[in-house]
Amino acid sequence: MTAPKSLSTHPPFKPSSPPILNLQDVQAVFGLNQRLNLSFKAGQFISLLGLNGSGKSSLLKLMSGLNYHSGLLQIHNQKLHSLPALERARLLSYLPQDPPLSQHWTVQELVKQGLYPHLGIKKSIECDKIVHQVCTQLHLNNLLNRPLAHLSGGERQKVLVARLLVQNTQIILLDEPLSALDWPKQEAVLQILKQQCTKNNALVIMAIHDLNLAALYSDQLLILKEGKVLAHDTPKTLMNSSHIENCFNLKPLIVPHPQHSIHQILPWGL
Amino acid sequence: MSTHDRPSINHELGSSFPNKLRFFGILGLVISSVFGLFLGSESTLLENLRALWAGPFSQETSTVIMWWIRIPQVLTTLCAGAVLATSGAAMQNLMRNELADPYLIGIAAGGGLGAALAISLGLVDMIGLPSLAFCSFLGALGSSIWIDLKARKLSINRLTDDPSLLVLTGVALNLFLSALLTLTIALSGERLGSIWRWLIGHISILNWFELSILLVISVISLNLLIAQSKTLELLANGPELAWSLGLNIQKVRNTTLIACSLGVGVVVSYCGIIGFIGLLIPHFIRPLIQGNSDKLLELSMIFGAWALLLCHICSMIIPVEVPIGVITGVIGGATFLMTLHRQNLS
Repeated sequence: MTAPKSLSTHPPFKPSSPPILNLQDVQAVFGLNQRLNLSFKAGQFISLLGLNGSGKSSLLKLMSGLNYHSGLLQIHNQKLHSLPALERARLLSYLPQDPPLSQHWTVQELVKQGLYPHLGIKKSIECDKIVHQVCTQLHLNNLLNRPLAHLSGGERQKVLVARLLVQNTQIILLDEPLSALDWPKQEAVLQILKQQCTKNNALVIMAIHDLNLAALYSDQLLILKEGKVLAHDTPKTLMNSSHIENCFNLKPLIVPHPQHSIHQILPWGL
Repeated sequence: MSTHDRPSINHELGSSFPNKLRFFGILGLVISSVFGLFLGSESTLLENLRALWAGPFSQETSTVIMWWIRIPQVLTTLCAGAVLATSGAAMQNLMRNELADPYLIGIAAGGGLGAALAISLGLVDMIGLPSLAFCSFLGALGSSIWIDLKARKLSINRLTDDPSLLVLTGVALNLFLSALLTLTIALSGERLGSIWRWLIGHISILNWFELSILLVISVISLNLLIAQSKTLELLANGPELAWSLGLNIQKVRNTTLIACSLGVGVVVSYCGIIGFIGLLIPHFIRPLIQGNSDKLLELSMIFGAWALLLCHICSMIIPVEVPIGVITGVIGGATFLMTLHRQNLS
């Protein structure tokens, strides 16, 4: 066993500026076997990792306000459930995994849906600008009038991400937004999300299965196992640790990245 | 190519297409209404116009027929068609299932049971006709609330519901309530013939008092539903996305269920159970307004009223007296099957 040093000696991550998403003693309705104490601050990019059924989606759903049972769930120091629904939607957006879509809708309609919480508050010119900007960024301009039924799985996912970006919130929760995308588009979407963190000071929390991409783009990784938080630390420390092996029940083949100081994991092959 | 030439077509149609469709629908509605008013009488157009001009209180036969039979019938048909189609569209969005329609999921049967109980328990004789509409509304509301509660209880999370479960629950409820309805009728010892005709759905000749109840309640119900077409449209993509957009799902749900029960309840109490309109009209409209889903309810209202009016005209042209429910069933069912067949082929 040449597993790297265990992480248990590292102090847990403590943000210095006030957190914009705060969970204290929070219990979920389903999927999580633990009362959670987590806090995230603006500008962070967090990736949720874990096996299938480890509680990633349940945690995201919990943070979005669904799947909430008890405890203190705060955004911007206000109880999430005491905020008016529309105000909440201007602060926090959530993209579920594979939501049901009405097949007769066009791409444009779905993307513009993201404006709903801002209607009557932002000027319509400003709204159109955001829609145009997001669609250009994600190369959706030639799909705008196509019905959702005629999209590929990856295109549908891109449209959903666009809808989320149009909603333009500071807290962005995404449940496996890259699972159907080809690898150039995975990186493109990650870069756009990362920009949201750096330029707009957004907090992005995303469930993802690709450890390497997660390690390259995230500020922190949150590893879940059997409905409990196993580790919460920077990719640099976690990618070296035994936590990966603990979590996935498989010894990883770890190699250094040629350009970054973050380790990557290679498949074992036969 | 087929997927790629679609956007350009849609682009050309743009947002003006629903407007054209609306114009076309209203035009058809007006022409058919005039046709429906003047149809079937021996008199000439001029005499008909004179009868219309004479007003409701003239004693002439042609005038009486015009003001106390033709006009109420046409107005009743328009209300029933509009309410059934709009409720159908709203329920389909709410339940995210194109099979949901007030007839299929038991709301109409609930209303029917309410009305039948009101008649057989003698409420109508005691309190008067408005109690019929009220009991029918209560029955419809009861069954829609039951479906809603059941579906929410069965789902794991309060906000994620399974659309097919809702419809299944509704279908089971419909069968159960229909059986109860038949039982009530059998036990009440009413004249079976007329009640069977009512059950199948027919356009009865209402007096102006009944008609005004129908009109007012239909307008209220349609208003409530159409005011929500934007938010109902958001619900069509599932409760999670709607939640994420800050939609007050419970409020939309409650308003829709109450509005549907109100409209369907009163229509059922006067016209019996007219099937297929609520299922069919939104199904035809939906692919036509791609890119403008929020127009679905409004256009369903117009085309629902028109379609039922055409069925009514058909039933008047046919020499044998056929209840309108049979006509909607025959024409609607056949067209629906044909469309589905064509959709499968393409």
